[in-house]
Amino acid sequence: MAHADAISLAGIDWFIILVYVIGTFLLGIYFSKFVGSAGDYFIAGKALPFWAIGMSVVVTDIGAVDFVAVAGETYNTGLAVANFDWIGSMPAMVFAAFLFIPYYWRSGVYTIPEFLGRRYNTAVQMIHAAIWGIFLYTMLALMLWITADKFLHTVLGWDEYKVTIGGDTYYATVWGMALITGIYTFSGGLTAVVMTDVIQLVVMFVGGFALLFMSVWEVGGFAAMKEQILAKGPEYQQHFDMLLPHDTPTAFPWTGIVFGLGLVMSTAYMSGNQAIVQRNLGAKSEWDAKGGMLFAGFLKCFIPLLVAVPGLAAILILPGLSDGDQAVPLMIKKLLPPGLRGLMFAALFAALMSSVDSLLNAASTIWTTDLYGRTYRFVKGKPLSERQGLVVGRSFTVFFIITAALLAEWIGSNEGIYKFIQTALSMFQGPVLAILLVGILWKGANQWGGLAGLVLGVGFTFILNNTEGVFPSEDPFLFVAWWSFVFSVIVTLVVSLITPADPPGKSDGLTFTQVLEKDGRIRRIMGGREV
Amino acid sequence: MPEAQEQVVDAIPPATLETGITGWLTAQGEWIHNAINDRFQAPMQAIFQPLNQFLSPIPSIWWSLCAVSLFLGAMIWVWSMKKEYVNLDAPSSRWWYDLRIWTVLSMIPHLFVYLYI
Repeated sequence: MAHADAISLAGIDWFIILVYVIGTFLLGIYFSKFVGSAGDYFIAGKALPFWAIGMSVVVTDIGAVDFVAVAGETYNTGLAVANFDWIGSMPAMVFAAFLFIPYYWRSGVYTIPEFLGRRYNTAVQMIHAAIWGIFLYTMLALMLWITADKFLHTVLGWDEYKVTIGGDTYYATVWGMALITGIYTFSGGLTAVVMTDVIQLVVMFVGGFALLFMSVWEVGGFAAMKEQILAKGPEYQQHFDMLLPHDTPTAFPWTGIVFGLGLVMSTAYMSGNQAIVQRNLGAKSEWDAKGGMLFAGFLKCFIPLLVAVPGLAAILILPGLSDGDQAVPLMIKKLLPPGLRGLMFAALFAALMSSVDSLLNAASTIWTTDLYGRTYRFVKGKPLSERQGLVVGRSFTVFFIITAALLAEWIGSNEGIYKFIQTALSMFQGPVLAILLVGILWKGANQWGGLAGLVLGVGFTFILNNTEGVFPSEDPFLFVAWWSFVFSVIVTLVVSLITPADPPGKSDGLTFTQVLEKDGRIRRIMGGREV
Repeated sequence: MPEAQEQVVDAIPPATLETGITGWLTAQGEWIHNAINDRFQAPMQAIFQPLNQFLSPIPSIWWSLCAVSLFLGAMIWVWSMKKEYVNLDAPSSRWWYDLRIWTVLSMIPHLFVYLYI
C-alpha cells in the first residue's frame, strides 16, 4: 500500500534511476579484474589518485540520512547544524592530511587499529578494532534498514515489496540494496567502492544542486529567504546564527563547536574512522593521500548548501510541518519536475549506496586484519598471507552483508541497541584521538601510556556522560569529547613518563619527528625543519 | 486490573517494563547512571562551574574570532611546515601542485561562512 504523501515517479525518472543503478553495478564489477591480493582488495593496491579519494571521502561521509535529517534539523533549529560540515570538517581534514595520514600511509597498514598496534601494543589494537568492528557492522544493518523504512517506504511508498515466509518478513528493498552493493564490493574491493563513489558524488551533486536552485528560486533568492524567515517571529531569530552562546540549552554552544567539534570530534572522525581513512591508505603516493583529503574538504563546503538550505527554504514553502524530516521528500514532490525528480532520487540512492559499500568494505577490513588476522597470528605464529587475507576478507564481506540484511529490521527497530553502540563509540573518540596525536607527535609515548590513555580516557568519558548538571547544554556531547581528549592526553603523557620506555626503533617512521624514507633512511623533521 | 496490581506496575520504572535486550540495557544503564551521578556530581561541578561562569558572558564577536582562528591557525601551521614535507611525492613542482595553496583555497569558502553569514 502506498503512502498518501508518497512521490509518484514518471517513466523518465525510472529510466534515470535504472541507468544509474545498473551503471554503478557494472562499473563496480569491472574493477574486480584488478583484485589479486589482500592489498588490492583492502587498499586498492595503493593506486588511487587524489581526485577519486577526495570524492569518495565526501560521499562516504554524507548519506541519504543527511539529505533528509540535516534539512529537517535546519527546518527546526536553523543553520547551526551545518557547523558539522564546515568547522566540523575542514580544519580536521587539514590536520588529518598533514599530521596523521602521512604516517598511516608510510607505515603501509590496512587499518587504523593496525597502526595503533604498531605504535603501542596489541591490546590497544584489539580494543579499538573491536569497538569499530561492532559499530561498522551495526551501522551497515542500520543503513540497509533506512533504505527500506525511511527512504523507499516513507518516500516512495514501496510497502508492497515485502514477503512473509514462516512469520518472518523479508524486504525486497533491503535485499536489493544488499545484493547490488554486496556483489560489487565483494568483487572489486576498495577500488570498486571508490570508483562507484566517484559516480555517486557526481549524481549526488547534480541532484542536490537541482533541489537547491529550485527551492531558493521559489522563495526569491537567499537574501529574500533570510528576510522572510527572520520576519516570521522570535522563534526564528537564531535560524541564521552559526554560533550560539556558551550557556545555550541546545547541543551546539560555540565553545562546544570550536573545541569539541572543530578540534576533537571532527579530527577523530577524519583521522580515526576506518571507513574514511581507508581511501587515503590506498593512495598511489603520499601526495595523493594528502591532496585527496584537502580536495574532499573543498567539496565538503558545498554540502551544507545541498542539505541545509533546502531545509531553510521549506520553512517558507511548507510552513507548519510537524516533522522537519518531511521537508525534503515534500520539497521534491512539490518543486521538481519529472526527470529532475528521478535525478534527485538517483542522488539519494547514490548517498545510500556509498554509505553501505563503504561500511561493508571497512568492516570486512577491520575484522580480517585486526580481529581475525591478529588472532590467527597468535594461534599459528605467522601472519595471514596475501591470498588468505583476500579469501578471508571476501568471506567476511559475504557474511556481513547477508547477516546485516537479515538483522536490518531488528537493529533498525531497536533504538536502544543503536544508541548503546553509538554511545560506546562516542566514548572512544576523544581518547583515541589523544593517543593517536601523542603517539605521532612524541616519540616518548610508550605502550603503557597509550593503553592507559585509552582505557582511563574511556572511563572518564563514561563518568562525564553520566554526571548531570556539569555543562549548561542538555546534550553536552561536544564538551564531553573535548574534556575526555584533554584528560587522555595528560594520562598518556604521565604514564609514558613513569613507565619503562619501549624498545629502541619501535616507533621509527611512525612519529612526526621521524619520517622513514622509501630506502629505509630516516629523515628527521622537527617543527618543519630537517634535523 | 486490580488496584494492588496497578500500584505495583506504577512503582516499576518504565524501562523495566520493556522486554528483550533493549529493556535490559536501558534498566542497567539507568542504574549505572544514577550510581555515577550520585558519586561524581559534586566534584565535577566544583571543577566545571567556574569555567562555565567564565565562558558564558564572553561577547559574540569572540565566538566568531575563535572559529575563524581555527581555520587561520590551520593555514598558518601548514605554511610553517617545510615545503618539501608538505609536497613530498608531488607529481610536479609547478605551483598548482603545492598543497599549501590547496589548503588556502579549500578553506576560503569556509572562512567566508563564518565571517559573513
